[in-house]
Amino acid sequence: MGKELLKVEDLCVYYSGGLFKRANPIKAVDGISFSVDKGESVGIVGESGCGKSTTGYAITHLIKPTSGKILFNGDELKSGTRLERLNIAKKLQLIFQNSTSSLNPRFSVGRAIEEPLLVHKMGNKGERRERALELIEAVGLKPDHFDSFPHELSGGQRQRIGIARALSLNPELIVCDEPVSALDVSVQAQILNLMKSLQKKYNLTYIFISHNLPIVQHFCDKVIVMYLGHIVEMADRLEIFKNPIHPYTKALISSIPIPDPKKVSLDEVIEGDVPSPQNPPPGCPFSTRCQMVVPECSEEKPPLKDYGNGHLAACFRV
Amino acid sequence: MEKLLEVNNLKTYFYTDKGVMPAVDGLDFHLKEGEVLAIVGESGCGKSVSSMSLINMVPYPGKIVDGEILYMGENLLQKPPDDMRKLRGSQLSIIFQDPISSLNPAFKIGRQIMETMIHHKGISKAQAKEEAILALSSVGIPDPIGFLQKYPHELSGGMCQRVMIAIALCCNPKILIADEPTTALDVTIQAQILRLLKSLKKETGTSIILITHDMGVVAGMADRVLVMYAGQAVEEADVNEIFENPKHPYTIGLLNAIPNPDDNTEALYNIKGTVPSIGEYPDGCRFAPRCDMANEGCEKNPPELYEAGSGHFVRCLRHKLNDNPRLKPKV
Repeated sequence: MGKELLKVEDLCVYYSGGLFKRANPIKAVDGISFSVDKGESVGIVGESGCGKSTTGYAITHLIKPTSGKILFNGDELKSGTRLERLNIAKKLQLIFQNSTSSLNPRFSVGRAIEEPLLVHKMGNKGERRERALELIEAVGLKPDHFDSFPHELSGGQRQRIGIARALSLNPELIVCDEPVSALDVSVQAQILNLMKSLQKKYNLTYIFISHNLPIVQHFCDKVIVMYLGHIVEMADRLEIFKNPIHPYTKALISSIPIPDPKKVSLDEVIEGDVPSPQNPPPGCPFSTRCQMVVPECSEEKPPLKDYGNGHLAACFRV
Repeated sequence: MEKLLEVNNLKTYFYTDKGVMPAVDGLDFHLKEGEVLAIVGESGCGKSVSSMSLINMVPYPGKIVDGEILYMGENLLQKPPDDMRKLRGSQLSIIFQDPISSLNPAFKIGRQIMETMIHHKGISKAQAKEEAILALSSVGIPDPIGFLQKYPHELSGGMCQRVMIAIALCCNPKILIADEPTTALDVTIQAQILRLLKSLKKETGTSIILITHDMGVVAGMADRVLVMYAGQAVEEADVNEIFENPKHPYTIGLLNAIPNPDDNTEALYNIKGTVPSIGEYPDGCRFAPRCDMANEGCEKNPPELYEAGSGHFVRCLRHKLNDNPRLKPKV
């Protein structure tokens, strides 16, 4: 893979808890570090509330990180002034889960795609139109869609527009927040194939946030597993699915329903619910549900250890 | 096994300002005793509307216009509303996709479970409370006595779904309709709920109609599978048969669109186009515009359900020809 494009160092995002700030802060993301190489797709997986979306938003500075550094091409991203925010938008873009609510219902397709160019004062009217038409075609829609409105389109088509809009500024990295989970299976495959081909065409880097492990396994080069705001495991896609180290990753993988009636097993199901991020357990975040738990686990938080070939996991018991 | 439920030529249409929407258009199926029947399809194919039709609770402006639903030989569509209400909850129960909004946020869990039992079984409050505790512990809830005093907002999604299952099963229904019971839940919780449904089915012998879009869930739960597309059944077969020897190009497409862990190909198989809007179906085969195998005949003649093997039905004119390697499932 290429050189390092994005580096996240000790990122923390806390939401102040309670209406009168008396409650504990919710530690949505609590000290995570990872890096993304150019041209790579990095998947972030986990269950709801694990902080995967917050991580994506913090990288693009849609949510201000509480602490930690985000380096893009070696420069630290800041979002203090409007100019700095615009600067981030040129390099980093987002695709959202809900394609309906992420498009302005009163903007035509063409306008939605031109909007980023307008904000950045790029090109004249003719050039912007040309760019929008080029992108409409690139995402597999027809030029007549230029004047349609979001409500006239299907979910899959709307998601294509979300992708076209994200591409309009020629970003280097796109954060995709559950881009296909609201779509039907047959349309899901279309969008994933489109995203793959666009990646080759425009040399894009993706951060792919999803709760769907088989899709991440298909789509990504590297996978990060998060639990309660922490990274519990990180490895190449084949490595993580063949040799998962952390008990949570193992449990996640064994919970995936396999589409084969002869291979079904629900034996290794983990019990219990994800604890509230407002009152996380002391020590290892997974200790309340882990089958291999020992007293040591709830005393100290296990650090990420390297198991060779960039395979990192945070567990005392392996 | 005896046929517990038989649905013949069910038609549920919605009468809207934009015209008549045939959400379910001539559906036939049956459910045997102790069986799990999975109804699979994408959004808008009519799977949820068919389940609501079964308990005669189609929301306005929908109406069941034709067909019969035979439950133990009796046509449910001709039953007076009062008799139907007695059946719902006691003989036919339903659990919905979104467990949190299915429970009433203003009442404690205990009251919501007891209500069903007091209504259907005619038992006293004290008895109902005892049975509610039993019902909650049977769905794997720790400390069921304290749980009765909780409100739905205090519970997680998985816990709410367990409560819904407890309510649905507390009167020992013959048929449980589970409409996307795990779609709103996380994978680890999904696995817990599926395991629970499986073990409860074994204990009580309840037949289950499982509505889902996830082929993985189907493989784990179902005995028989009904694939729906555009308001019609396109394929029906035993679960092993569906996964090993699917006949309809749509079923094959659905199976191939699932990413396969052992496969390293770059592109996923995809079905071209999108599901047609309800009411805008083509004249011939409804799948023809998206089908790789369609020819002129498919566009003109709507296909019937053919028997392609014992108990294996398929609605495709070209089902005998599907030796196209592109259409072979990967599994």
